[in-house]
Amino acid sequence: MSNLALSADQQAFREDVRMFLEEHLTEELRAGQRQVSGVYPEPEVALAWQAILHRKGWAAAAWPREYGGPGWDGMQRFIFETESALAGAPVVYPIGIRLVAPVVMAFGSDRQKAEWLPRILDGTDYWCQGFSEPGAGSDLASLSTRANLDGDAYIVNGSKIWTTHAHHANRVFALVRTSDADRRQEGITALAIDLDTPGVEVRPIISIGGDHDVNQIFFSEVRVPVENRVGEEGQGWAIARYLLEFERGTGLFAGRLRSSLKRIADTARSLGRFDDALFQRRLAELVSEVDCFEMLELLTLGNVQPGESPGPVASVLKLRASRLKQSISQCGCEMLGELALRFGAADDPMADVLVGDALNARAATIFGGAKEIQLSIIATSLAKL
Amino acid sequence: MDLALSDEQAMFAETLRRLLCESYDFEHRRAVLRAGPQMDSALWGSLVELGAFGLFVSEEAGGFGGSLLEAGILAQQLGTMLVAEPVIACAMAPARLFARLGLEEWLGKSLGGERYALVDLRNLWTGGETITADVACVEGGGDADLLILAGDQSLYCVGAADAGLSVREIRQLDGRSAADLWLVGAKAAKLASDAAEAFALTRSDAAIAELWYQLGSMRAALAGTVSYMQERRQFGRTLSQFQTVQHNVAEMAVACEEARAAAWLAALAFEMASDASGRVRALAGGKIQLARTARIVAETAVQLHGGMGVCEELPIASHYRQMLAFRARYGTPDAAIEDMAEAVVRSGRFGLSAVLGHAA
Repeated sequence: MSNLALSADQQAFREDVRMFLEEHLTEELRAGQRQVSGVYPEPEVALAWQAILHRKGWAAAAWPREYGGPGWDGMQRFIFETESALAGAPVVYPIGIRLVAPVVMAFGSDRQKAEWLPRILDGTDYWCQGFSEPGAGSDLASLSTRANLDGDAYIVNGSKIWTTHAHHANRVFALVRTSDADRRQEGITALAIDLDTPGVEVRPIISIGGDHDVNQIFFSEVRVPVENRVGEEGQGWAIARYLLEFERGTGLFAGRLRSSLKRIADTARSLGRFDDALFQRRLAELVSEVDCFEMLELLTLGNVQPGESPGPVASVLKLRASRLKQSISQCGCEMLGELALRFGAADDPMADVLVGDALNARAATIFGGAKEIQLSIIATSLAKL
Repeated sequence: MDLALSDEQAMFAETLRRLLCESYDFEHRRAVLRAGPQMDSALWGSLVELGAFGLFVSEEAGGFGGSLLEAGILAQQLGTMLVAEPVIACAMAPARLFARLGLEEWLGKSLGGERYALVDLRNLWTGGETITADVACVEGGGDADLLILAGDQSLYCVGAADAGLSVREIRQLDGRSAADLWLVGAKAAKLASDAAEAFALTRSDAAIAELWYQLGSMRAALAGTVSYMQERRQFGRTLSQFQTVQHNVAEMAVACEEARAAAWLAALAFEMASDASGRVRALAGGKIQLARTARIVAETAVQLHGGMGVCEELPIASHYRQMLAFRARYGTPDAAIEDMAEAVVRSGRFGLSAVLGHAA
């Protein structure tokens, strides 16, 4: 009989998670997450929380047990992510744990698995993702950063752009061109590049919200050992598709969206603006959208076995999550009214956070698969047009 | 946590789908509506024969269902074909009301096909042996006994054949059978006291079933649009080859996925809610989301059909009229937003998950 009731085990697990959060989630860490106006918290905050989770064995919620994951099923992950988000825990920096690691597990050599995965798990390595280029955004297959084999190393020349947190990272997971095959995708290869290698330069790009989140990376005659290639030459495109499908299928965002609503409501209360009827109406509409989205995530998750791809509905989730993020952040900016005009010099720092968030959230429908691309995918794979 | 239809439920949905495809296609519906405001009793009879109304109440009460999810499954099939018969208003609601009030004999008559229309007259009539009042646009009111909630919080019945009851049958915006009622000294038989809460819960049940009816309509509109885009040719190619068409159809598909989630959440969360606020969150939330997504689907479907979307040749225009009617029935989306603000925002309850934490 269909219902929303948690089993006794699930209820007990939920209690465990709550107790853990109560014991280990400090106000300082909560403040760190609360003040995020960009895409991820500052590394000091995220890595501190990751270390705490790692001591418990909970840093990588979706990893299989054999690699150090907790071996949770879909519902346990949902419960953990929801409770963490609602308690205000920092977002665990996802690039290493949620994007690079699954790729290494699926395509990497035994040595790469043995050496790289533990360093991702314990936070020693901080990865960034090098896909987009100035000439290759949505049309990723047109990328042209070149890697030519010279003995036991690739020589890399070119540039990656919009690389989030490259200025904090020590490694970049890059897609490079190793050959000029007739089909552009066939010439693409995945390389792990250490950012302290000679010839690598990271230049900041300031976002629309005034934050330094993303960068441009320049590669000039950078030597990358062949052992740093992930998978075979020419397998880069398959790897990229796997990574994107995986990310779309395993990301859980409803809790985060709800906690950002709470952030706005709390700020409104502290500014004496919570009782405004129009604000409450707008909030009510957004609450119903987040509730609906949470159910959509739950329905989708419930149909997916570990390691399985959730299919075309995942594109729907990504699109909705990004639009909801924008609607919510817009609500936060509007709540501030004329206070938004003091952006950059606000009396209440949370006002700056909310305006910054409203600005930076425009990237949500651009990065990670622009909404136009998502719509085209949805038209063919879901609507069967 | 169990979020899938059972095999029996899926089979029942399929049986209904086939019945409606065979006996209530668009041509048939058009003929029924053109013939006048009277109901199509043939379909009603088929549903009774199928035992479909037993879905609305539990086994203990003499049915084989009882959950809002199951009622929703039936409603969704009705919405797919835009069935104009007042099944939700005059079969589902009465059955559930009788079950709640323990009126077994009346429940038996309802499950056997007798029609009843629920009318809330607390503002017009305090109760008593006779009733004099006018009521407009009651769904199914043209051929049903009336179940009237009076100002004394009691439930009364006025027979369809009562001399003091005159009706003028009409069709609502989306074709649903309805009637304006004039009661002049009509005889009222008291069925139960203290019926207000049961009545209100039953109306909420019906409102949730309407969410599913709307969902059925949306999915039919999407399927029809996909079909038409693949057939219709202009500028030397099918419309489906134009990117703007692809993106618009994708927006409809996204809206349908969200509507499905919203309908599921409303049905499950309403029944598991531990208090009035929880029920408001479920029902009002469902209304807001179904209204929003239905509008996207209906408007886009009409637009993509060009001229064929703004005439009555295809079902698309009827789906659009249904969407407007949905917004007007059982409280508007604006009213739902107010309810949500009152019950869920002001209290801070929106900070809690909508799906975790329901008691078993």
